[in-house]
Amino acid sequence: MNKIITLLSVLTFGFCFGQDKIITKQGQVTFFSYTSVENIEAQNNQVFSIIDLNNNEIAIQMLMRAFIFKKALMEEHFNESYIESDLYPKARFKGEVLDLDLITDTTETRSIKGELQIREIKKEVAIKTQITKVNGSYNLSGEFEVNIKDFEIKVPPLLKPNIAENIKISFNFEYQPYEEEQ
Amino acid sequence: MKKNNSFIYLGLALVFGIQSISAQDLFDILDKETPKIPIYTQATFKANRIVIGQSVETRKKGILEFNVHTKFWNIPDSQTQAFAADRVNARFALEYAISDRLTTGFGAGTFDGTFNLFGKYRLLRQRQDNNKTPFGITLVQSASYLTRSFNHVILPEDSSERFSYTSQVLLARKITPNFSFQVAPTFIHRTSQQFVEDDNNHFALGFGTRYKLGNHVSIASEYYYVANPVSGIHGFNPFALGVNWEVSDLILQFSLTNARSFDEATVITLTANNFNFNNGNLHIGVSATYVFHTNQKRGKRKSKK
Repeated sequence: MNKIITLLSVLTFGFCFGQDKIITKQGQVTFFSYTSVENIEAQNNQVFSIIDLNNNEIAIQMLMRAFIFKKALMEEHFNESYIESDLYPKARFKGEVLDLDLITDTTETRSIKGELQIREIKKEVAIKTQITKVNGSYNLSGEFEVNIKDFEIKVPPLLKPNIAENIKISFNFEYQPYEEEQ
Repeated sequence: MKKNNSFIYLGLALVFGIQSISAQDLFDILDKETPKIPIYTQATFKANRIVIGQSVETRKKGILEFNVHTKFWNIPDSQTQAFAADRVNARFALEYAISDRLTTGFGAGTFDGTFNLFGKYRLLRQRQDNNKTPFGITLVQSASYLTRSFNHVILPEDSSERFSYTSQVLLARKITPNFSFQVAPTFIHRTSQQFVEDDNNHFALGFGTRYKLGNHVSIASEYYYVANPVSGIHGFNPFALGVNWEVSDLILQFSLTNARSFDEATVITLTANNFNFNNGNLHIGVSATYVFHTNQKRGKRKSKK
């Protein structure tokens, strides 16, 4: 009898800790560079993100190589000459969604404060995001801008007119409850 | 005994519980959940050619490359009043990627009148996420057709003797993000009977390198060792040294070489002078490659399922 109780408690423990995180494996991040010469757009459909609902901590991670450009050569240049994904394969974000637990079923705007890491360079950012509560889980979307100089991305003088200094980034994450494999 | 067992379970529960609260960093979970998709090394070389020979690279599906290669050189002790250089050879070529692995192309040289057609297939791609595929392999087959006499190479009367066939196995590895190396075992069959005392089948071994100086500039060099060269004035091994500069859809290359032609068969077997700085032997090359993207489907937003 004792055995069964303890076994049950083990299971409940596991179940509890499985339920208090939500995850997405197919988050979308798109970036846009608008200039008068050229518009550049690339999309990553394999962005991973997880939120710990106990402390509203959020982590986002993606591979730079997973960005798809319309022009194949541009994709190569992006990886080889600008982002240098051989050396810095991942971009990461770690932060906190402020007042996430106060959200009701309607879409509300919240702020995410945290640290964005591209090319191993860290920068504190605050991002406005629209959050919708769906079946105990959340959908997050929004957009913000990053300055390429903050991440030491160098553009040769000849191409300065083609690449915007401020890149617009939009994101859309639809989370599912995270069930840890036992 | 029973009590002991339940203590163990309780202990396990606590240990597991504590671990899942604190030690498990969120990024550890993301790393664990990320599927292992293959990541192929890209930009081992920057174009279909290193300098004078083919590179392991093939273009992505739908890319059309327009190439203009030029070479300039002088005739020793000449009294000519030619502008800038005594002789110039230009090659115009179109190269198209049928799929991500298969690229074809054709071109013609103005000085030697050689028409050249090639196909290359990327058999194996180097991967950068693990060491299971440490290098890439590309197969190249090309055919060259002579249309005029040049450099003591006399145009055979019978058109069936005007062909040369080149088969190559290109093995390349991007050793560091900045340095790539290629080895190219090469077999060339010439149908021309002009040099009767020479072989019609040639074996050669090519070496090519690329070193990235900056994000947009790299230097490249290439050398072919011919095991059984033609005798007489043609049997020199070709060497080339180039600087690549890429901006957006344009790739420019400036090079120094002793080869006058552009098709593999002529360059490897019939290079008429050695690489040195003597007047007439040093050839200055300028190449421009412009890339068109014809694949309109790529990068279209995928609708959510």
